[in-house]
Amino acid sequence: MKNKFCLIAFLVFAVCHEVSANNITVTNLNMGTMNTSDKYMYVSFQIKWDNSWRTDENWDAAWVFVKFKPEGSNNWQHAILSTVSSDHIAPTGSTADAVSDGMGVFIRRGSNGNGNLPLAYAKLKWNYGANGCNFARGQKVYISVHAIEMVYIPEGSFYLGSTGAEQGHFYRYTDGSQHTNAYMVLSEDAFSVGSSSGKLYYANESGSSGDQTGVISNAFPKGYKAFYCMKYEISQGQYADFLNKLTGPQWTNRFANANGSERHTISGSCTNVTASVPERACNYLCWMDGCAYAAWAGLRPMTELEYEKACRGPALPVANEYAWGNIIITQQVGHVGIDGSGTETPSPATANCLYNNGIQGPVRCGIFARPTSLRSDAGATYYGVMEMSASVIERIVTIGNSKGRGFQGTHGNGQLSSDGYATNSDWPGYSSGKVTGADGAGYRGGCWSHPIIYLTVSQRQSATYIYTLPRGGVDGWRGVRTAP
Amino acid sequence: MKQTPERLVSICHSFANSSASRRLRSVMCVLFAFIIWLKFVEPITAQSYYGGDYDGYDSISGKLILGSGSLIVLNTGVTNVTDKDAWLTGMLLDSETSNANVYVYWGGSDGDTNSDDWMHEIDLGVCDEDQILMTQITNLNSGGTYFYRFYATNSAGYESWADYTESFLTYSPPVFAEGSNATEIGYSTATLNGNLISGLTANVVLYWGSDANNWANTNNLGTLSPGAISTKVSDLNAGCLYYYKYYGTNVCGEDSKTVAFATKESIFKGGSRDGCVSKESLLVVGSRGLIIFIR
Repeated sequence: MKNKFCLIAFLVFAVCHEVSANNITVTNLNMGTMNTSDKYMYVSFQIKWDNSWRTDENWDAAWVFVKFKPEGSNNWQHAILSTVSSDHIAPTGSTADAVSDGMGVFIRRGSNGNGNLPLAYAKLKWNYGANGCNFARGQKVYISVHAIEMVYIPEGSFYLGSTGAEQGHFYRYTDGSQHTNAYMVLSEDAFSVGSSSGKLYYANESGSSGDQTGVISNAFPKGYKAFYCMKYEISQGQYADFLNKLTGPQWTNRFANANGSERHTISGSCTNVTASVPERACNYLCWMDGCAYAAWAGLRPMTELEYEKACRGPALPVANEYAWGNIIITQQVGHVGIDGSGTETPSPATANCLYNNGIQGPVRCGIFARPTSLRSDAGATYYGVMEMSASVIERIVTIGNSKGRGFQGTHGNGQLSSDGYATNSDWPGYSSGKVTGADGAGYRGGCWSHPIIYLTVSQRQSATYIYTLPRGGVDGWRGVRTAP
Repeated sequence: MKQTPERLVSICHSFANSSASRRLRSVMCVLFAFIIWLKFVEPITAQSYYGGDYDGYDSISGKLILGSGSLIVLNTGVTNVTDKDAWLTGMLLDSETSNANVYVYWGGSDGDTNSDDWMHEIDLGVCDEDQILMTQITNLNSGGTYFYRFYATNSAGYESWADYTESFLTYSPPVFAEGSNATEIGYSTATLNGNLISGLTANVVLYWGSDANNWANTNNLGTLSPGAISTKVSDLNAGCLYYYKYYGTNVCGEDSKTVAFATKESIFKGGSRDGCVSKESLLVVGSRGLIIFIR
């Protein structure tokens, strides 16, 4: 019965919905009106991206944030934007959603639809007084506008566990006689982990799935509440851009210096870093690197509960499913087109995943999604997040130990410590004012070198595995932000 | 009581904890879950997971002089379009400290960003930042295609064209094509066809009945763009003559076309004699279509 039902669910979901987006472009930067009395000014730019969509349920968006540096300073700061949405002017046909801490704005389609969003002006109100600045007219300031494609994961209940046989998978404990019933998350209310009827539970065969106990507090992001998830893993160009905004001591701790290893292409010196293949997913990112990027961009780490929500959505679980909701997988073993050009596509053309050393390192972000692809073809999650199975590994906040469970979902404030670490005290790895470790973090989703057993959504073999340095060629990052 | 997903899930869990047999509970839980899914999980869209080239990140940096007088003007749309005039709207997104003079260029062809290539220029004078810009253009041709683009310049020497040229169509009176007829005519149903071939948009109402001077039925189809229109009607009487007309109106005028059609003759008509004839006859009896041959 269960198998038949899963088959029905798979067939229905396999043909259901469209999500997409890529090729975001920001151009034509200008400074607008400046009010020296109230200490605000406008930053205007043009923005566009391809394959945008919006439905009643979910949409893509650009997370746009602004960095600035007065001429003569070497310290890029995070511009605090107005927290009132109507203070910003969205591009024609779009809407701008401000956030309560002023870290940026989400720009998304103004109404339901899909297709390319044409190049159009946006204008963001920067309350530079909130940054402690007192600029004068005529002063020269470096401005940098950044846009990251995100996917809105709507509020709602969802299942943890696929009903399959993954190591350490979540399930709903009954009487000990079964280990596969999926557990439904019904709210953001606290719940406990344990071996009593109705509780969330998991095995720990690997020794790294967790302590099988504990309370998941109200504050811990469980995936029920809406959040935005980066559509792609951090690309090498994206990380290089980040490195170029750091001071020398910060750069020293965040630069992997792994150019040439396992398709990593970031090289250079402080403030002069380049990625020769900027569109490729970035590897050699340790937990501290990812946290630093998230903090700098006003984002936060993703919890492992949010990971399963982003993958499975509200759909019924399919035993041992991959991020695209079924167990159909085709390995990428090469490229069509010029590898590294940004326009290369996978070989074979039907590939939807890179794993088991099909290629010895990461490939272009979003490479499996094509103009006519379905969810399974694109290797996309229910909501359209790309490469959540394999590519580079997903780093998550675990519920498998007390350090992870202490996470409260705070967002980065745009700044790093003087030596380049995130400073959020609730983030895994925090110690003495900085995120310098990885205690409380873990791994999900597998990577380009893993066999398929590690790629499944509910595989938790290394959900609490603590690893810091040296950086690995399989390690990537993806940030999220609680929806405004 | 409205059954929210949480409520249904709660029911599901309650059942799971009940004293029913384990197998039955499992089956019912799956059934409940499926009901929840059917009722509350809408597909995101009917299309596929599209994608393309490059990744999902970009940035731009630059050294800018604060308060130096940038200038941005936008097209924001066309309103109140009729057959002979329209209002062009725009916005002065940013003029900073310098006074900005705004113009709108328009005509029957796209002059892009070359003012000499535009047929008409309207000087809107000095405008304020964030000001909604509106101007009416007149003497347009009915059913014509027009283009426009805003332009601004300021005393600091900056100039700005709107991102792109916009186009629009003017209204013309609605016109229904000749030659449309009823199709799929049955004993009590028919499909009434029409074809709106002009008018940009029109509010269309369908009338039908047995008296073309006193319509028994109406159906307001709302605002339609030019194209074929088909409406299936029912509850007609067999073997009768009917009329219908599509009637369209817009700001420019009105039009309608009246069409006549006859429904099929009923084979169940009665008469003064019995059904005995010298040749073999066929009768269909009852709703199940029982066929009887009578000699």
